[in-house]
Amino acid sequence: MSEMPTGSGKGPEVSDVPAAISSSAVTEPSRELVLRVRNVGVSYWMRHSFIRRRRFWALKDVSFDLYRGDSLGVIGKNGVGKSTLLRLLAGVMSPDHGEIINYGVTVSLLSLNLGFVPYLSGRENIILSGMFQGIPKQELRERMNAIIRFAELEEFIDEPVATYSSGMTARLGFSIALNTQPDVLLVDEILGVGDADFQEKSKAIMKDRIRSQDTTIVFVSHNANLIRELCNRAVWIEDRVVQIEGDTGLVLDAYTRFLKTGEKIISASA
Amino acid sequence: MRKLNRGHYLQLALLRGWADFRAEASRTWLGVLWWIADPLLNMVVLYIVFGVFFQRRTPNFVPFLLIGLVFWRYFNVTVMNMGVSILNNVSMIRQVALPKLLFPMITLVTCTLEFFFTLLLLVAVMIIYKIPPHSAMLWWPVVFGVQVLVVLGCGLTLAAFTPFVPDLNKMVNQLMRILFYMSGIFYDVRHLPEKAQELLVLNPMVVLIDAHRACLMEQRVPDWQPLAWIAVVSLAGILFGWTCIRRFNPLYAKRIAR
Repeated sequence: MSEMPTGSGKGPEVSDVPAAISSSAVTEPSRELVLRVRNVGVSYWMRHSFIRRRRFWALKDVSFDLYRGDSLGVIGKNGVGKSTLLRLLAGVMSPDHGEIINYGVTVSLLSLNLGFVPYLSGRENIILSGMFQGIPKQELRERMNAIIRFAELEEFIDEPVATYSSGMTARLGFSIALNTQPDVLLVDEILGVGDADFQEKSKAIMKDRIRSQDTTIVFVSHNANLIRELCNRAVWIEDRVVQIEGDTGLVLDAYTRFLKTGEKIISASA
Repeated sequence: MRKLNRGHYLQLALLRGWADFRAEASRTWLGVLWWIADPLLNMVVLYIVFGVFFQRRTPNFVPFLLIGLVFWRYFNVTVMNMGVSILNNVSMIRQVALPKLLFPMITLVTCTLEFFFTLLLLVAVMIIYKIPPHSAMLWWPVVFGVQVLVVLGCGLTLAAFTPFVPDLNKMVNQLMRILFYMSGIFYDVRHLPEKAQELLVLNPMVVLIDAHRACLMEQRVPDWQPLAWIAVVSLAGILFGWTCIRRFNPLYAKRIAR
C-alpha cells in the first residue's frame, strides 16, 4: 500500500477511480456487452532443468468489459502481459483463474503471414493462410482479386512467396488478414507494414477500422498517443494487474502520470 | 458471425497436405526423385550386405527387400513427423484458436502422398522381376488400410504428448532404430527359430510387412487374425490420441517451452 498516492493528490484520485470503472457498466446500459473478463490470471511453467520448474504469472488480475463497437486500447510497458491478454481473448489459451465470458461473438487476432508456405505461389498462400484464419475457401476465391489488388502484387502473385521481398510478403500478409472479419478484432501493435507507401495505406486502413463503430477492437500498444487518437476506452496494465479501466483520457492521464512520477492509482497486490 | 465446421478443417488438412507435398518436391534440385532415390539406395546397401556378403538371398530378393523397406519407411517417416507436428507449429498455435488435430492430419496427408510416389518404384521393380498379377493383390488395400490405422494410432498419441515432453521425439527415434532390425525387413521372419517368431509377432510391423509380401509377391492371402488384432489395438490408440489432443487443446499454446 506504500505506493498509494499520498497527501492532497489522494482525495480526487480515489474518487475518480470508481467513477471511471463504473462508467462503462452503469452510464451506458443500452450498449451490448460482448466480452466480460473477470479477475483473469495466466501462468506459464518455466522449465529450468529435469525436475526444477517455476511458475511464472504472465497476468495476475485482469478485469474489464468489452461492448459492441468499442475500441479498447490496452496500454502498458513491454512485458506486462499485453500479448498474453490478447492470446486469452483469442481463445488460444485458457486462464488459470478467473473467467472470460463470451456473449456469442467470434474473436481473432490480426496475424500476418500466418502459415505461409514459401515455396508456393502468392495465390495459393492466400487460400491456405486465409483458411487458417478461419475464412471459408469460397469466400477467399471470391475476394482473391481484391486481395491481390490491395497488396499491389498483380505481377508477382503466381511466383513463389520465397522470391518476394520482405515488404511484398508483408503486403500480402496484411491484405489477407484484413479479410478476417471477426466480431472482435484483436490488434497487437500492427499498424503500418511493408514499404513506405504501403505503410501509409495500411496505417490509414487500420486506423479507420479501429475508429469505426461497426467493428469492436482491442488494440494493444505502448504508444499512449496512438491509443488516445484511436480508442474510446482504455485499460492500463502494470505489474500484470489492471490498474485502471475507463475513458481513454482518464486512463492515459493516470498512465502518463505513472511514467513521470512512478505512482500508481491502485497498488498491485503484493 | 461466421460458422466454421469440420468440413472447413478437413478441406484445409487436405489442401495444406497437398501443398506441403508439392513444396517438398520443389525445395531441392532433384525434388521428387529423392523419394525414389532414398529407398533405392537403402535397398542397394541392404542387398550388398545381406545378399552378397552374407549370402542370405531368398528368391526375388530385390522385391522382397524393397517391399519391407518401402512400408517400413512409410511407418517410420509418418509417425516421426506426426509426432512433432503440433510442437513445430507453435507460432501458429499461439495466434489462432485451431483444432490441434489439424496438424498431425496435414502431416499424414503429406507423407501418404510421398509414399504413393515411392510406390511407383515398387511397381517398377515388380514388373522388372516379372511378378505376375494375382488375385491376392486385391487384398493389399485392406492390409494398407490396417497400416494407416497403426500409423494414426502411434502418430496421434505421440503428437499429443511431444509438445509437453520434447525428449519423447528422441526416445521414439531410438526405438525406431531398434525396431528397424526387428521388423523382418531384410530377412524372412518365418526362417527364424519359433521362440523368436512368437516374440517378434508382437511387433505390428512384422505382421504388416509379412502381409504386404503375401499379397504382393507371394500370391497368398494374408493371415487375417493378427491383422484384425492390430486393427483393434490401433483403433484404441487412435481414440486415445484423439481424446488427449482434444483434452489438451487449450494447453498447447501455454505449455510448449518458451
